[in-house]
Amino acid sequence: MKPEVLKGHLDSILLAALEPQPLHGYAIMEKLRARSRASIDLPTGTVYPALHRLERAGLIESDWSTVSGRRRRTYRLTTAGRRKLREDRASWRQFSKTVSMLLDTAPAKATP
Amino acid sequence: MNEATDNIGSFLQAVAARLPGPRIHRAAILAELHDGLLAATESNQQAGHEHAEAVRLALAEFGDARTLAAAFRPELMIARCRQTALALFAATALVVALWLAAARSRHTRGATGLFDSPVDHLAAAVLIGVIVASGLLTLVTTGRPARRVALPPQTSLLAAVAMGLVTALADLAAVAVLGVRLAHFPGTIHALALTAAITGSCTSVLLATRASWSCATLIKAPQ
Repeated sequence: MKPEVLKGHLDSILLAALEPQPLHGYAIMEKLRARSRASIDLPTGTVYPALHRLERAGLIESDWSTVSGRRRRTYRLTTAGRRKLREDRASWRQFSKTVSMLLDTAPAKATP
Repeated sequence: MNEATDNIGSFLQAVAARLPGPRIHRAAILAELHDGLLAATESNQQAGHEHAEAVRLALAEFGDARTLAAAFRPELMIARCRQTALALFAATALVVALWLAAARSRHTRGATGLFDSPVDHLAAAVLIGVIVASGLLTLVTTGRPARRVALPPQTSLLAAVAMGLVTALADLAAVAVLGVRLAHFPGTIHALALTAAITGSCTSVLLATRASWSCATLIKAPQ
């Protein structure tokens, strides 16, 4: 799946990845690959700017720690982030249901 | 191993060279990318790749340095605007305090009218009010609500440029107007206090002009 297909959904995908537990940037990317069965073809570097944008919007927050002698930034959802994720999920389910209904419509039988 | 590590260093340098904004934000981004690249390298090594190949794959995963730096630019530009607004607020508060100190240092005789007329007070209120208004506008356009509605960073940059220009003009006006007035009241103000106020205003003019120019160059800077 190409990055342009994910455009507009990256924020929700990142929020969903952080829902169960806090993660650092690369761990988020690994989780996305694992959950999508490696069908996401997203440059890892694009995840970091998106995380910064989400943090500035108050949807996630971060902490620095030291792991194996290097600084690591770990992100977690805020209350506003969990609320946004719920809204995005509801919106996506509605959208997905509607589009599926339209795409899955059986072709009308030809009238004799 | 050294060559592979050098490749990570070169990649980070290429990103750093294209990042605008406050130094502390840039350092945090580079530290985070460094950790991410090493985590990716470790992951590739665990998958059975040699170190040099693991680094090469990690760098390929992160994509092009130019594209990566460009993706960080909007947030860094907003951070620069916010930093500019806060710095100019602090500078303005200091300059106002210095001029108030100068006004209070005057001798009582022969100073009638200096700093006392309603016109002076009105002019000072207008100058400070315009600076505060443009500063608040900058802070609003760089705050969380603005991020949630995805306000373009150019809006914040324009607000910061305006604040810098307004601050510079207000300080120039303060020095010019008060300088003329003080010429008519020689020896009524403590020389040290007056020098400090004028120096403060002139420094503020320089800082505000520089900050304004710095934000203006980011509006259409090549990525």
